Amino acid sequence: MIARLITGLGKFGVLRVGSVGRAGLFLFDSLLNLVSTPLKWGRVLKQIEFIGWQSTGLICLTGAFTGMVLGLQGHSTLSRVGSETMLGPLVALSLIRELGPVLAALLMTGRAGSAITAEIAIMRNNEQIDAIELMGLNPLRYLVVPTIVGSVIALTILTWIFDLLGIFGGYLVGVKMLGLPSGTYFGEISRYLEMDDIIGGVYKSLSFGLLIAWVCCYKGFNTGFGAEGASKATTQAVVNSSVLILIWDYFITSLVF
Amino acid sequence: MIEIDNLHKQLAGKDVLRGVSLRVEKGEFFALIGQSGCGKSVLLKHIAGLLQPDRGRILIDGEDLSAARGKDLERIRSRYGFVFQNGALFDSMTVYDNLAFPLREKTRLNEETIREKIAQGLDQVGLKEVESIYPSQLSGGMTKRTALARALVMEPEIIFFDEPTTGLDPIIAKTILELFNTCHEKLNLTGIIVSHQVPDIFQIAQKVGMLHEGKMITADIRDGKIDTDNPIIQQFVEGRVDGPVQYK
Repeated sequence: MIARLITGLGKFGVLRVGSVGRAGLFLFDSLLNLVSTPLKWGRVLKQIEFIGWQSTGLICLTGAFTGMVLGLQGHSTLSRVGSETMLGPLVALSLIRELGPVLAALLMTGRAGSAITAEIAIMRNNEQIDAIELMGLNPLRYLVVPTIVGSVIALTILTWIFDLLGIFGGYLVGVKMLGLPSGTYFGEISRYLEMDDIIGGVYKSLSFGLLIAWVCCYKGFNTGFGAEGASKATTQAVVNSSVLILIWDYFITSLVF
Repeated sequence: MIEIDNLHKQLAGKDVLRGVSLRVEKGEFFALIGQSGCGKSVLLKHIAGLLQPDRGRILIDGEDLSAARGKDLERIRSRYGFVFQNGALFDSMTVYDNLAFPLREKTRLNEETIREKIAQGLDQVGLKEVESIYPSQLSGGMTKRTALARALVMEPEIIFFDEPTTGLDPIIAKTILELFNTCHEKLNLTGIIVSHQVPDIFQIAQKVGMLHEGKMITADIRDGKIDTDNPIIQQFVEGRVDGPVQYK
């Protein structure tokens, strides 16, 4: 019984390590293609349009409401200690350092990441990826590299939009609804917000963009058979990306801030 | 010339290929037949370099395909044309872009020359006014023809067909096979065709190989008829239930 349990655990461990190794090699090969072959800018722009432009509405809406909630909650909390004037920095720093990059990445995973996996999985199952290979072409260069570049660029821009709309949402609640002076809200933001906060947020967006493209493309490339396989791959891509974003967020926060 | 030497492959614990050896001469058309699920497509994918054998070698004009990696593999594959069972056309692209894709990526031809080559390629397979259509709007026969046109547009030396007539009505299936034959004769291609379309397939092939229990049994074709006294091939070609091949 115990021997069987240990054998089972061992097999599971070997499978997991193998899977992580294959995913790592996939990323390495993709990055190698990124630096060693000319970029397909047409495909990159298409990805930016799909991942970025088509997500703008969603990002604006969620960014604004996140900022408004922060405004409400922040004002209520700060007023207990008589520091309502700090609402601006609280909203801005929370968004720029943490909530903007993470929430924008999670939203992008749900909206665009799942579609990326599904598309590649269908191409894999319909032998379209084999067809690319048999033309003597490298599918990583055509499918993965443009997605990585597009995802990194799009998520960085989306995060800025999220941050700006969030700060505006906080302004609407703090200034327009709760009566905080407008000069105080923006004045305190400019006083406490530093360039390192903005750069740290950018680092997060860049790494989350890479992470989403990597996980979603890898899952699509390694999909199971049929509609069920594609559906499982899509679910796993979204779940794994989301969990990895939150885990990586801890490490990158401890590294850059 | 394609040479396969003692090829072995195990998939999901099952010995699919158990020492397959084969030789297809330059300009020869080889028909690969066998029971469903016997490993024909697996063998074809090995020759195409999409799968790696557990043991054995595949030589393309003396060059070891199974040992080739990266750019070498891409170079060998550039000599191939492959017509997939379902066409494997890029569904997000029009027929025109499907044919233009390899030309744009692999050659330095200008768009005008590409347009001419595509028109010529579609004409060769008897398709007209389909350039702006998406693959999902094509019928089964048109999909196969488009896939053939895409495979031929790069002027391959070796062409593979994976069950190209499956799911087509008998007339379209025969038309497609005749089309392959015309292209083969005109372009002097070396080809391997996986098909269940017996005996029609013998009209276009010079040699036939049957994959049975992971091994290859070959026979010559003379005047459109199979020339063998092997009981396994005979049973399969005649479609008899009784014989050495047991259907489970």
